[in-house]
Amino acid sequence: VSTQYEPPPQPPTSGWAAGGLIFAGTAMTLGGIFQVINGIVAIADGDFFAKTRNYTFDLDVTAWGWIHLIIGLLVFVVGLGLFTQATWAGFAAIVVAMLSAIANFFFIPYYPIWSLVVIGLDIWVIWSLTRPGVIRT
Amino acid sequence: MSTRYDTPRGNEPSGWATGGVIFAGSILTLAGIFQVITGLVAIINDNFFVVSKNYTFDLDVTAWGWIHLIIGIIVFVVGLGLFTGAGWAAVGAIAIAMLSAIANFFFIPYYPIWSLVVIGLNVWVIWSLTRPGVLQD
Repeated sequence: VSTQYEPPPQPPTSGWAAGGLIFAGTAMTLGGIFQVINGIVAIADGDFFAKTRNYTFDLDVTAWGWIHLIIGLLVFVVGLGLFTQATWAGFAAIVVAMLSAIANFFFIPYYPIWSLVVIGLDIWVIWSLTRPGVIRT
Repeated sequence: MSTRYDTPRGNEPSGWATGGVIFAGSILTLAGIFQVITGLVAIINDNFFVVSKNYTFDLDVTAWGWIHLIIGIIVFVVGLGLFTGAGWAAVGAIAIAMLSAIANFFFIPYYPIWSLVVIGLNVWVIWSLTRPGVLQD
């Protein structure tokens, strides 16, 4: 009886999994580059951004720039790591993509469109990594 | 019993794969034309664009126009190349789609909507080319 509820064996390598990983890796490296560009502009030219009044999370724009630069580099590296197909990279990618989306949500008052592009890419990455069989446990 | 969990056949070229390449080829040629249009406008009428103050990557609008024109033409040609079904075309398409997306991310401060359209198409192309079985290597 107990054998009846065994989970079905996973196929050894599925094309779906490979495809999802390649997409997520490509989109993450792209999103990482985007966020690094955003960070560089924020560090180099703070005046480029909208002055927000009374924003609760109104750190200095330069400070946000460093946050974007560091998270962007992290996203880029983890994106490359996805091409190794390692399990840790898959989980790390989801965590880092969430982190990046949150940082960009905070940054929407300063420059909405750049942030929206990166958030969209982050969500797309999370979606493609959570398709069945993409991350092998 | 064992046949029930047959692994999906991933090695033979599937209709999906062919469809993905045709989609990617069509969208890339379209995105290439879009980017050429942006480039032409930037070269001919600088004043059409918003002059962003203190933008770190504030090249001359004309310079950005030439960048868009050249990348747009490459995107267009690679898009046509996808219809040949060649392996180099698919890998080249992902690379050039990333390049085009990055150039347009830089250009968002000048004219966001055109850039957003092209970035969206580029990511869609990358997605469709990374579906299983599309890239034969």
